[in-house]
Amino acid sequence: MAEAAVSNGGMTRREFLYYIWGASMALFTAEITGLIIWFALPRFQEGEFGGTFTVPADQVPEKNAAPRDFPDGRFWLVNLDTTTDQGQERMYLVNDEAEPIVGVAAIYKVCTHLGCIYSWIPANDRFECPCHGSKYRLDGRRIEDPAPRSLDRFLIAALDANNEVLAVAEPDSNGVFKPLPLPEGTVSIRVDTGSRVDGASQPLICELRDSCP
Amino acid sequence: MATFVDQVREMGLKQATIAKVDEAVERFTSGLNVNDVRGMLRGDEPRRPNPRLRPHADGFWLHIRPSFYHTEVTHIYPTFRLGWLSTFMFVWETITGIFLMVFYTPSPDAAYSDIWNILGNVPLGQLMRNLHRFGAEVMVVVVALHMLRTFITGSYKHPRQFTWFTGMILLVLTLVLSFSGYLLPWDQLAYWAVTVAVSAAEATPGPEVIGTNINLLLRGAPVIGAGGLLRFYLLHVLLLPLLLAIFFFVHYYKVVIHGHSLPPGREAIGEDTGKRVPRDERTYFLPDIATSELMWTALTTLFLVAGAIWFYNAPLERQANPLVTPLHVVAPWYLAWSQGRLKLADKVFIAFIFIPGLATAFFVMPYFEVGKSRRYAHRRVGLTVAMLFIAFMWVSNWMGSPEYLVQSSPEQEVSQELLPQEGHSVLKGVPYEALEPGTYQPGQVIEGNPHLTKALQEFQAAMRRRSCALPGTDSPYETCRIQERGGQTTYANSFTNSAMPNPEAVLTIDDYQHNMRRLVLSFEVPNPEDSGTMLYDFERTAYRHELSNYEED
Repeated sequence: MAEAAVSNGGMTRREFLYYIWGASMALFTAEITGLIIWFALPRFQEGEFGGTFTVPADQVPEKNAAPRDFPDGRFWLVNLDTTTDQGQERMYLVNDEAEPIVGVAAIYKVCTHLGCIYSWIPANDRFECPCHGSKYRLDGRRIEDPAPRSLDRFLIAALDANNEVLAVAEPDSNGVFKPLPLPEGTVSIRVDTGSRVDGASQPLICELRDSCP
Repeated sequence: MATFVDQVREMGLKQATIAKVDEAVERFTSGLNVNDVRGMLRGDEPRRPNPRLRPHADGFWLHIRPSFYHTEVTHIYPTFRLGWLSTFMFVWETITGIFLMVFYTPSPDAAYSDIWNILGNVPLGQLMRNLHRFGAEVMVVVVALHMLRTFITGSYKHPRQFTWFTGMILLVLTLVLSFSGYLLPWDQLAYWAVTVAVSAAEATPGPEVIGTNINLLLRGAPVIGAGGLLRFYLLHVLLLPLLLAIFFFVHYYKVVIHGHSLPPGREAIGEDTGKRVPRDERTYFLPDIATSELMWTALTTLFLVAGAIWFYNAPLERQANPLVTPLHVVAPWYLAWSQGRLKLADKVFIAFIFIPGLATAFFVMPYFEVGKSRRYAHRRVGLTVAMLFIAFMWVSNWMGSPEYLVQSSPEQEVSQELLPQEGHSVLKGVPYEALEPGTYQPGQVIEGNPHLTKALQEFQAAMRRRSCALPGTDSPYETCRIQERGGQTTYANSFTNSAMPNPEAVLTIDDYQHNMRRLVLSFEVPNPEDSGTMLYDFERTAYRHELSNYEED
């Protein structure tokens, strides 16, 4: 019979102590690695670049008009209404949407795919991302891939002349803020960019309309 | 031992000095005296025992170099000098990089203006930047070709599997090194390329906290800023070169230990004779290989300097703006395949299954592909797979270009071709004097103004690709194919499904201010289905100062 490749003689005390020592050094290295990662993590305040923005009501776009850009807060304000015929070109319902979409929403300017800043292309009536070609409807819902979800939204509230809150956007079943129909007497809108909620992963609109490239 | 004074007494001053110089040369070269050195330069046979082997045994610089090569591997085939060239490029990048570091501060406030200072103010600064950037691209090419050559000649096979493995580490480090340098100029190109790459980390499978924290570690903050720039700078100038140097030595040690593999046809199947070199087939490092390497150093330097002076200009776009992603932002060409693949599929799949899977397959390939023969005729499947893989990468690279899936609306695309937000175009390159005020049609010929005429020809070509003529009209474009898709009418030509029907487009140039002209591209396309409304109505404006050789916004 061939000799075993590894001798299976009993462990000596010296060998055992080497293993214990080695294991403790491995543990120590793992601890140091953890400490290095902890050390290298940046220090910042949550929502540092955001904060709360107050927008006068006259800066809110017209119903179904092109969105308005707020670069400081990194959001677009959109005013949606699928109930009128006049707005069908920009805001339309697709098969899986039963309720009309009405109200104002604040949409985060960053593409949900890999963080590029998409822009509004008026001729195509949609948001388009220059990096990998994701497309979104005016309300931020995905039209085309590769975005993994619809655009993220911020919490908005409608304020009256005394800065009293008249209404606050409600979350829908996915936790995403629904558009907020502005009540009578709204003078300004408060956008809280510290409260971003990820968009939902609904089916692509282009699949529902059979217009995918 | 006799002192110098004793020697002078004994031999006279001249002879004693010569003896001293001889001794110094022998010490400096670790074993070659003046006559040995001159013998090498004259092409004499070495004396016995061969003193030209002593620098390999006793000296530091040559101790890692083999003292002789198999003559078969000293020809251009089979190595094409690609491994040596990769090493040369690394040294080249280190030297030119140190020059650039002298004038560079890794801070968003300073980095961009530092690059302009290097370009416009530092003597030879532009040359140095071009040499560094051109060198980086050449290095990527050389390293990739080195791998391809190793695959084609089957040199990764037993006993050189681990050499291939370390070579893969060096390939990955080369790509990451090249990419990490991308951010440092802090221009738009840099900022968005890195933002996309780093965001892919967010898609890490598993608990969300992992992806978020990897992202934070790389970005240095929730968005790339001062912290991120400093991190990428340190990676680029410190950590990655250090790792690359370490693995270079592991790699090269394995190369020396196993000897260069001979051309596949030169040895019996399943044998490796790279290390058993018959005496009459040896080419000694001193002087022949050393001379050849000096020549390659000279030729490569010539190539790089000539390239950086006459043929290559390192791009610099506008300063990084975290609020605007320019249209048609593209990854560096050697990563365009990943941008192409990211357009198609789920990013988790691409970034954590496809790309790592591809890399792993490459790493472990020599341990699984264990066919004994290195001969081309016996490796038809392997070589075919390699060619298919190259074709696949070629197509993926094309998919990374703006042509694929990120086409915007036609008037934006034409504007982008003529007056791009970033980068160069024919119209941007027209000299200021040639920008005569006026209104111009696409394809118009301006007598005595070849520059503007050429730009207008480009305008016409761009319009042709994105326009069509409605049936029954006399528009100069190809007839529209009118389609109903998803409740919308689209107008297609043979290039695109989104063409402008019967467009009116003009370029207007006027004097905007003293020394400054304004270029306006305007597009008017009436809606054929609803007269009185516009399908496309768009203007793009750009300004051009007399003293600038670049476009100002």
